Amino acid sequence: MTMHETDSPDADAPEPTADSDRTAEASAADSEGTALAREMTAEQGGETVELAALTKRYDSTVAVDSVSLDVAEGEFLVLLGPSGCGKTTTLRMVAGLESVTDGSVIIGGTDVSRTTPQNRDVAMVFQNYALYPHKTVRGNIRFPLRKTDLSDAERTRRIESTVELLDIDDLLDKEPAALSGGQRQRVAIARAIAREPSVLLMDEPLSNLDAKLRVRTRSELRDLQQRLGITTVYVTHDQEEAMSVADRIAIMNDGRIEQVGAPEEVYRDPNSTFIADFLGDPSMNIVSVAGENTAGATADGLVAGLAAASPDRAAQVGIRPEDLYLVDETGGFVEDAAPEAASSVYECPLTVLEPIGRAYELTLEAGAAQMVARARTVPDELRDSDSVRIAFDRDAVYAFDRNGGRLR
Amino acid sequence: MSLGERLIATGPNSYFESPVERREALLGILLILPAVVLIGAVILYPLAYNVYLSFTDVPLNPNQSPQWVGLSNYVDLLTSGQFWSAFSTTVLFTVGSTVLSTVIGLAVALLFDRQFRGRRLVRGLVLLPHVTPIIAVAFVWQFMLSPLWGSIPSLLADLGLYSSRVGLLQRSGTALPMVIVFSAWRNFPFAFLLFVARLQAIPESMYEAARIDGASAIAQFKDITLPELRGTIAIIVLLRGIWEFNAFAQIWLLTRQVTTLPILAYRTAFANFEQGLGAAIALLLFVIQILLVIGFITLFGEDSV
Repeated sequence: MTMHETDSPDADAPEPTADSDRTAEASAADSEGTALAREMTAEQGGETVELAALTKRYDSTVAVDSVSLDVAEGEFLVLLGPSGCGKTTTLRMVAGLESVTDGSVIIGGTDVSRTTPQNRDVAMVFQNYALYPHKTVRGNIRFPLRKTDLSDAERTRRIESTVELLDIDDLLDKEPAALSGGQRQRVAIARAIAREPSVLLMDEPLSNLDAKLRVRTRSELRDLQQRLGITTVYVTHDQEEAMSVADRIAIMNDGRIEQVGAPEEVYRDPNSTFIADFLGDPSMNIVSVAGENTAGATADGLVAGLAAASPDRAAQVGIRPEDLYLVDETGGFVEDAAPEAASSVYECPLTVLEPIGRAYELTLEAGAAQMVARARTVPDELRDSDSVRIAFDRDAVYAFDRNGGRLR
Repeated sequence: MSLGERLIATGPNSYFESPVERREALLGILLILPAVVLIGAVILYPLAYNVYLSFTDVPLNPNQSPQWVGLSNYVDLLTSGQFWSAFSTTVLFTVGSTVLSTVIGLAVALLFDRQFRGRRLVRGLVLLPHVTPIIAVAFVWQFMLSPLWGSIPSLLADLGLYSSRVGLLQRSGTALPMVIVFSAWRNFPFAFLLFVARLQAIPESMYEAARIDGASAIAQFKDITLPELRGTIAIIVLLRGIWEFNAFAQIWLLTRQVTTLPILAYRTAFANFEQGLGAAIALLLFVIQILLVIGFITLFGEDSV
């Protein structure tokens, strides 16, 4: 076929020697399981992943549109986006499960765009775990090891150290049907990392877990990835999950990457109204300040105030719900925290007051627009259809142009 | 506590706590009564009557009542070579056509487990052997197998495999294999349907995981497809086994050279008019079958069936 086929064994060549060193070291520390696990983590590493103008077209629709992305060795990169944005297709192209229409996937410096999945040295954790239901946990973890040129003893050692690492050693002889969702998830991860692949791919691995377990597992996942130092590409539509695990987040929309950056960076410094709207719950309030619609709305102070706090050429302005502050009659802030650059105070009719446990969400009328504010405390006597006094943080106003691009 | 235990513990009068419950129960009984009566009349009564007949000698004159002969019908049968030869023919036929139709059904289902143009149309066509009236297809097969103008003997002769002047269906040595082939051809769509449905339910991601793990197509079939189909195979083999064991029409319409137990029972009762003996054969058929089913389920496990 292509020359990549012949290239890849050369690229892999140093690995077996590293493996055999490890075996020698391992037999010395054989008695101590945790030592094994620790040692395995120290040795396992990752390769870089590079996507160059990667494109996937189905007949007339373009699922992935010229995506370029560099993932560093050992980096935890999250592909985040709404359903249908092409993130899973991108991941599947990296895995080799989906053919590449155009562009290339480069793993560890080798172009693998036309290489079969098993020759890419990647492992994948599926949304539904895809465990083999008739095999025991041991059989499941052993399955990918069968195709490696490891000795039987080495395979057994790998299985042992992996289950040790994931704390599932007591499940080895059970079948997947007998396991809980969280346990299955761990087995799926164990199966993926036992082979010590250079890249770990995860397709919404936590979405089948209940909310509490999901939160716990994602921090464990992050911890595991840090210890293994394995390059990880992770797909999710859950922004909170993405924020908590990622080194960097690539936000996708409509087959394109809209922005790549550290979690804090993409949240605090969105490139476009799409990202500003997509990240954050409740999402950012974005209102138009130019055009006929708002010309008559000058009577509304809040929108006018926001417009005044942003550059003149802004067509849309945005403010996050947590950057709107309740002000009491005396002009003091209801909460202790006050913004440094507080705006003047505006009076807005309140349409809905919604307690959401640790905070309140207030839906306000600001002229023709609706805005959501989030407050940790509200005055006791506040009811729906009252009117509230609002100030905003002038430093937290985002300005966008007509097409939704960010103005800085 | 099961309903039975409660009934025994409390007695029927105090079991139903309120009049409402009692009325409910009465209504329930009333509603299932027609079905119970119908099953009793068309299944249980004939079955019981058959058991009775098998211990008698039935005279041809309908005005004379059957004569009780005890176990003599059974003794006659179990010591006759005819019965045992029919029994072994039945077993050969059942095993042969069940295995063949299951294997063909699986093979065709695997071919259909992918996208191709016109898949739905072809899938409908595959079902034709099973849905065409058996009398029609049996005559077509007889025609095809005819020693004078049949295409199959002619083809076999061209290949040098067949030279006899006696037809394939007319010689007992070749009639049984032909009947097995015909039965497998007629019934593979049944296995095909069940396999196609089950294959579609196997999550694609399992195969994808196997591909990433480097499993070849054969390994994927052995490690994923086959274990996933285990229960389906068990149910197909069980049902087909029962049906083939009782098969009458697909043999009788094709040839008179293959005598299985159902055909022996029919001949004994309605050609030789030894109805007591025929009833005994039918009953033995029933008992053998129950034993086979129990054996099968113990072997395969109740869960998979």
